Formats: sequence, C-alpha cells, structure tokens
Amino acid sequence: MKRLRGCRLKLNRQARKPFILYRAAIWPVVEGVQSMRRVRWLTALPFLGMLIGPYFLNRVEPFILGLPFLLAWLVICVLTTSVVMAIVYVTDPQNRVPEDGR
Amino acid sequence: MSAALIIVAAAFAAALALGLRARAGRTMGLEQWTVGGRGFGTAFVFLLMAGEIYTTFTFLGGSGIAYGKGGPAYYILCYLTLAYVTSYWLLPPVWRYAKERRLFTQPDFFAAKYESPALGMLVALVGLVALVPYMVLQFKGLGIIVSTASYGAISPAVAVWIGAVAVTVYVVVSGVHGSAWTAVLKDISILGVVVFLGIYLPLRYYGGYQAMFEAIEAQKPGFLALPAQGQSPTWFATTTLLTALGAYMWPHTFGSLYTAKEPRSFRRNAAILPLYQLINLFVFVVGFAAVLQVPGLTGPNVDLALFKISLQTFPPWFIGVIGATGVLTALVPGSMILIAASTLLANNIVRPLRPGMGDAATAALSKAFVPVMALVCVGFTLSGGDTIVQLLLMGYNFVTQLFPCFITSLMARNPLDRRAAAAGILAGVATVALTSLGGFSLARYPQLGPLRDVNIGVLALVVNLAVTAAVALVTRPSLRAQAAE
Repeated sequence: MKRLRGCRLKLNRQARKPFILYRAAIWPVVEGVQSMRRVRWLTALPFLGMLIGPYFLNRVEPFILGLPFLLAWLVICVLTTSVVMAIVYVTDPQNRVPEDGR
Repeated sequence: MSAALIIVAAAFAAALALGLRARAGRTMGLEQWTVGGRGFGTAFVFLLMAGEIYTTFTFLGGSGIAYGKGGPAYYILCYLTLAYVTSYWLLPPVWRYAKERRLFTQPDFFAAKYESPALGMLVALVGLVALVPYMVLQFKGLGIIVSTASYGAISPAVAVWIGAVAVTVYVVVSGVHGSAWTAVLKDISILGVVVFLGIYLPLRYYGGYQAMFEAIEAQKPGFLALPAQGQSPTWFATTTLLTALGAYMWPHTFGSLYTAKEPRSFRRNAAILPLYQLINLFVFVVGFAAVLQVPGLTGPNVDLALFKISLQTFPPWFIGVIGATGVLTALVPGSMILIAASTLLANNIVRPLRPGMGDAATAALSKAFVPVMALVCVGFTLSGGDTIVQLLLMGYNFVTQLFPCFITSLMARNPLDRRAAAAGILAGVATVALTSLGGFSLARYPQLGPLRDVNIGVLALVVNLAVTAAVALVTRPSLRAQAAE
C-alpha cells in the first residue's frame, strides 16, 4: 500500500474497499453498524451531552445513585463516551490491519 | 522526624531509583531521551498520557475547586473526555508524520508542515511561555505536600528546592523512560489513595454519598450545580470546549505522543482514557466532604482542602502515604514538562540559529538546559504566589491558539501558509495576553446577555481565526481568486 505524505483521508477512502469485504465475511456481528461513516456520528453524543446538556439539566435534585443530578448526568456522558469510542474502535477496519504502524 | 516525612522521603528515593533503573542498557541519545526511541506500547502511552493529566492540579486543585466553587468543578471531568474523542483521529496522522520525518518536539511538527523553522521558533516560544506556569504549579504543589507531611518542620520553600533537585536529577539521568516508570508507581498510588478517600470520607462524616450531598444542599442550595450567572452553563460549555481543543496542544503532551510504537495505541486509549477520568469523581467527593467539615478556606488556600480534612481524620503515617502520592503526582508531569521545555529551547530555538548542530550536541544542550529551566521555575514559585492559577489558565489559552493552524496542517491541501499561521498565532496570543493582563472581562458588558459568560479564550480564538483568514486571502492568489468569484 502506497502511503502519501499527510494524506490520510485520501488513503482511508482508497483503503476502505477491501476491508469492507473482509469485514462482511468474518464479522456479521456488526451488521447493524456496518458503515464506519454511520458509526462516527455516535461521537457527536459526548459533545451534545456535555456541552448542551447542562443548559437543560443544571439541577441538584433528584439525586441519582447518591450523586447530584448534573454530576450524575456528566458521569453518564463519560461512560457513554467510552462505549462509543469502543464501538468506533472495533468497527474501524484500520484496527484489523496486522501492522498498522509499519 | 515524623512518620509522614519518612514515607514522603521514601517516595522521592523510589522515584529516583526507578529513573536510574529505567536508563539501564540504553545510551541516551536525543531520540531515546526525548521520545523513548518511539518504542512505547499501548500501556506505556496510556500511562504517560494519563501521567501528564493526573498532576498535583488534579490531586490538590481538583478537590480545591470542588470545595471552593462546587458545580463548575465538573468541567474537569468533561474536557479531557472530549479531547480523547478527537484524539482518535488527530493523533495517528501526527504520529505517522513525526515518525517519517524523525521529529522530536511539537515545534518540529509545525516547522516541517509549514516548511518554516521560524514558525517552529514561534511555536516553541508560545510553548515555553505556557509551560513555565504549569511547572510552577507542580512545584507549588510539592511545597504544600512536603511541608504538610512534615507537620511544618520543613518550610514550603525548602520543599520546593528538594523537589526541584529531585526532578532535575532524574530527568537528566533517564529522560522520558524514567517518567514512564514513575508513572506506573504514581498511578497505582493515586488510584488507591483517591478512591479510598472518596469512599471513606463521606461514609465516616455523613454516612453516605447522598446524605453528604443532601447536607451540602441544605446548607448551600445550588452549590452542587452551575450558578445562573458567572460560571453558568455558557461558561461551562465554552471552557470545556476550549480546554478540550487545547489539551493536546501542550508541548509535553504533543511530545509524549511521539513515544508510541504504533498509532493503534492512541485509538485504543481513546476508549479507555475516558473511564480513567472517573477518578476525578472521587477527587470531587473529597473536596465536597471537606466543605462542611473544614469550612473557611478561601482564595489560594482552597487547595489545602484535601490535606486539611485528612489531617483531622488520619494518623501521621497515612498523611505520609497521601504526601508520597502527591509527590509522585508532581514529579511525573514535572519531569515531562522539564524534558519538553528544555528540548524546545535546544532543538527549536538554539538549533535553527546555529546551522550544522548535530543530534548529539542538541541532546547535550537539552540536558544542560534542564537545571536552568528548573531554576527559573523555582524562582517564579518562590517569588510570585497568588496569580498561578491565573497564569495556568492563560497558558491554556496560549496553547489553544495553535489549534487552527494545527488542524489545517492535517488537511490534504493546507489552505494556510506559514505567514497566515504565524499571523494567526501572534494575533491570538496577543489577545490572550492583553485581556488577561489588562483584566478585561466580558462580564462588564451586561448588554451581551448570556454571551457575557463566554470564556475569554473564545474571543482570542475568534481574533486568531479572523487574522488567519485575512492573511491567507491576501497571501494566496488562488484563494483570493476563489473569494472574488
């Protein structure tokens, strides 16, 4: 695979095709989230939750699991972020190339 | 000599021993010293990145801000989480480029991308100015910790000197390898101590989490959420976003990403590091537990909240354990900062001025700069006291100004050239300096409505973008032609 300097996006588009076939063959589990493009939209969730959320959820009560409401909400956002990034990681074809770093 | 002090001294010794051990079998050339030979796996990259993040600012400052400000402290939980999301896509291309070009520092990256050593020097200067207060903060933390652990026997000033010598010695000896190994020790102890304190203190004083928060809510209604004015949701959103953008623009953080063996480390860490942020939850809880138990701390003294409540709760030996953890939380980021700052000086400011300087000479010069940098920082620590947090926030706003031309440099065809990049950085940095030093505040203009709570760094970033765009339009005829159409 020829790697162009500073052109990762281009490389991605070129490289994606064979991996889609590869993934469809060995990994039907992620059928629902087949397209990387669709999965990437999930990463908007942490931003929305943490930056916009406090405008609507800025309150102390009710307590959730013993935490003030706003703090509990932000903790949920952090947990969601981790899950989202894990999904992005396992559905990203780049991470199944044996030697990514050369 | 108290039991606490003996344990703190042991932590210093252990850190030094680890530093010496980590160097074993390596000749410390520039590449080994600064970027660990680019051979760190996921676990070490994780520890270094987390190691820079859990500093004395988290340990003392995180509990302090929860104690002093309440709800607004929550932003600490959020901004790095968002930075990790972006890191998934931003760091691998940077790493690849750095490896191809054998880059050592952050300014190297800008200098190579924009084909301009002068721009590298500018970025190095911005980085240095931002790093000094960050280092001062670590030293200040060390001073508090050691003098508390000695129950006053050692003055904070002496403690700062001890800390400075320890950091300098092990940085010179082992470079970034020592930091990574000490980070292992540090992370184990900070996890243990903070989680223990965060669970034990509410149980001991209030009987549980909810009981504690209810008691605080009864005494100070609304303290646990954001206020309607000042540090409002608008302040929260803009501060979180700005600091998230700036998080990877710090020279030492940028430098530590070069240590990775393969870019997959970053992608994996993007999923794991957010969970690690949850340690902050326990840090906040310690601060909140102190609100009703040790009331009355104000101003810079809020940083003492964690120690004050611990002193009235635990025997001396445990104060020693907390102190030892605190020492490590200062040493790891402190050493990373010193390595970054001295490499910036040698590699990006001196080297371009003296053509023909080799890697070996640069490495030697970098190491020679370490004690110099440490001395400068000790000087600032002992002279200027109260404005440190102010300076740190200024530092954050400084490094964030590098973000626009960093992002465009990752694009396949960069719309900016070195002139536009330099002009934008200069305009942004000047705005930050003027507004912070001049005490300018948007809160003075009530007609702005909710916008007056916007973090002042946003203004600087807007100025930066405007100047960058203007210069780009003037300097690039092709773009100018496009704009004319």
